[in-house]
Amino acid sequence: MTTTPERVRATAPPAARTSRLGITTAFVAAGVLAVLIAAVHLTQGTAAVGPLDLLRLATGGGGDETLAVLVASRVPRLLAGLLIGVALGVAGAVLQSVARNPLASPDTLAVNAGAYVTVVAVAAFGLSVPFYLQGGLAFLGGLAAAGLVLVLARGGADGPTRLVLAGSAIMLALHALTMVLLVLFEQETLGLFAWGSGSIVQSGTRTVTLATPVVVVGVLAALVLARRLDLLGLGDDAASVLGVDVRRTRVVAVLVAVLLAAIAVTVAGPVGFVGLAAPVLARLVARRVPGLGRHVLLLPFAAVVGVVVVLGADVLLRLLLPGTTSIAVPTGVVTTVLGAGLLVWLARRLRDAGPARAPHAGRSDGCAPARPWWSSSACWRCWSAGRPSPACCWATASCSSGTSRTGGAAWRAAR
Amino acid sequence: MLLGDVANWWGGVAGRQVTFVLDQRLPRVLAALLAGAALALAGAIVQAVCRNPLAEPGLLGVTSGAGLGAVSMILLVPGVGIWPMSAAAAVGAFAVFGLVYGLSYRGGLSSDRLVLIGIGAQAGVTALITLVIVVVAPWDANLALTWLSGSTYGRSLAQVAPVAIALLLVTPLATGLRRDLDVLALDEDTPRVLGVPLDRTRLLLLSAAALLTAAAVCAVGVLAFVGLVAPHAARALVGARHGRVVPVAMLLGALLVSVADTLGRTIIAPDQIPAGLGTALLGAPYFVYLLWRSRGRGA
Repeated sequence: MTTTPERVRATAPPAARTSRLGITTAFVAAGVLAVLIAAVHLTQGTAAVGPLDLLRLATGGGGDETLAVLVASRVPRLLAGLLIGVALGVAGAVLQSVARNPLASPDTLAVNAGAYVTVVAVAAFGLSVPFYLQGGLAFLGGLAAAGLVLVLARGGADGPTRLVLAGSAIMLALHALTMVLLVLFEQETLGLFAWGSGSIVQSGTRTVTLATPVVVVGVLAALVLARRLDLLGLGDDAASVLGVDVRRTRVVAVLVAVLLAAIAVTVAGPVGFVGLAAPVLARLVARRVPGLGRHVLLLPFAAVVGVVVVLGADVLLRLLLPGTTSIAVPTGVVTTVLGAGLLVWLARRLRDAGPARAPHAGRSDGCAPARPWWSSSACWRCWSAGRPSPACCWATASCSSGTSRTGGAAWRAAR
Repeated sequence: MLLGDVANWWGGVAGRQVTFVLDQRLPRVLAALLAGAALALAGAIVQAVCRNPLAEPGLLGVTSGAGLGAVSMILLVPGVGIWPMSAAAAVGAFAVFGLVYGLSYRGGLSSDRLVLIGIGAQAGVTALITLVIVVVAPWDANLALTWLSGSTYGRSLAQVAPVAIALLLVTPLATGLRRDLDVLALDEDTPRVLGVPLDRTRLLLLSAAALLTAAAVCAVGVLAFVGLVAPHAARALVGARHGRVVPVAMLLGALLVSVADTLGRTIIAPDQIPAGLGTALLGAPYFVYLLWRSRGRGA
């Protein structure tokens, strides 16, 4: 079994086989699924407006009340779900390609947490800012957090564990900061606590209308980058040989992804793990459908899958919990639980890609034969390669350099 | 409140007001000290056994599991005592720990898989805690705060008892197994060569860590970063031998939590910052610094 972006690599080159039928089927199936879920989603809510009322409205009958409910609460909710599904799906797919790491996402890179903390800070200091300025601040916050995580994990080159560890540490810290703000400025930030888990309930179409152009621009920008992302999947060296400015592509792609994630946070709060789950699911399908792995198709597909994930989670939530309770429960809770399950599943598969599969990319160091991007820390590689060497493990995998190495030496000396 | 007041109170000759105030404060201070020590000990054990210096009970989902157990117990059975709550927290901690351990055990325990699965479990279980609180007690913000970020607010001596007992049980165990811990932290083969029953020792130690974590969670809720930072700082101070690391880490953990709590209570008095947020704000920069120093070394 191979790991996710390797699949992309396998299907990415221009000469790769493509299956028009398969691609069409995948898109149509995902689209139909999204439409079905959206239809169910419209019928759910606290008002006594069921499927029959909606049918009557669609066929020309029905009262003003039904229409009012639909326009005031359900359609905005649906649109918000669509928008953040698209935004997070594309953002996650781009980040995973840039980091060449299936575990990169707006959540694991702390983009969501960074954007959220700025939104809360703005509210806490009693500033009432226009939507776009708030979005811009969320963008800066998300960018700072993602930049810090990527620098700490060296762009994901140090393997998924380090990326996720750095990301979740930064996320915890930012979360603590957010909570401090919430505690200190209770009056100003009222209602932001539940929003903190991400909820797509809207009180009108205004936010969604304002956010849509930004999302459209972001998705278009990502599609423009699609070709270069394909090439980036071949490895840094191969990409630069093929004429891609690796550094600039990375920076631009991260900016686009953070923009999309930040706008999603501004609309609905940090909806957890959609940006992780949607691209991973899309890539699973892409593995079976030749040609779908190209980013120009993969990104839209991830967007559709993102919509399915967000709306599906919301529908599930409203099915399981009675009407009035389900308003209070943020959608993000469900997506986080689902996404966490997916993360566990991915982590379980890591081992399957053994060290013998080390791809061409990467440079050698003293410890392991190559530096495959997907492999976990060197320590793990050492034992899997059947060359357990404490010195290597401690020197490479430990975090406090001097201490642990001398520690390892002390241990050995003690024996 | 002066030092003399505390001396009087200790001698039992203080006035009513002083006695009342100190009776309120003592459990908080004790809770912070003991929970800090317990989490630091658990962290030291987990780091040695997982052979990953970045692991900690919180990142392995154990802390959130204990939180979920405790929260469900409190909310489903109103007015429940401290012991059933501790039991529920322990059950939650062991359930999540068992899940994480079982899922990551595939023909051997890979520490990376353990950490990744632990982080996944932590995220999922924290979301479940939010769900339970929002569904059952949407208006109880204090409860949410205690369980989601850790606080010493309104502790009683009874709530501190489980931590004290867990510490009394596990500290001798860790001291007794300190050499095993040293060897376990080396690699997979050395313990076998030296005749340490690998899987059994590991399971015993990790269970002890889960027990400590569950008790600490009962006392102060979910505290982040203590179990990670304290053992690290201890290793930086006294080297890697567990005979020395364990006591120093426990002291540092107690110190960290009580300092975070004191700061949280005084900086913005009369408002309070929960201790868990304080430890996260103190611990996270240190963690970032650790990651920064080891940049490029992890691969």
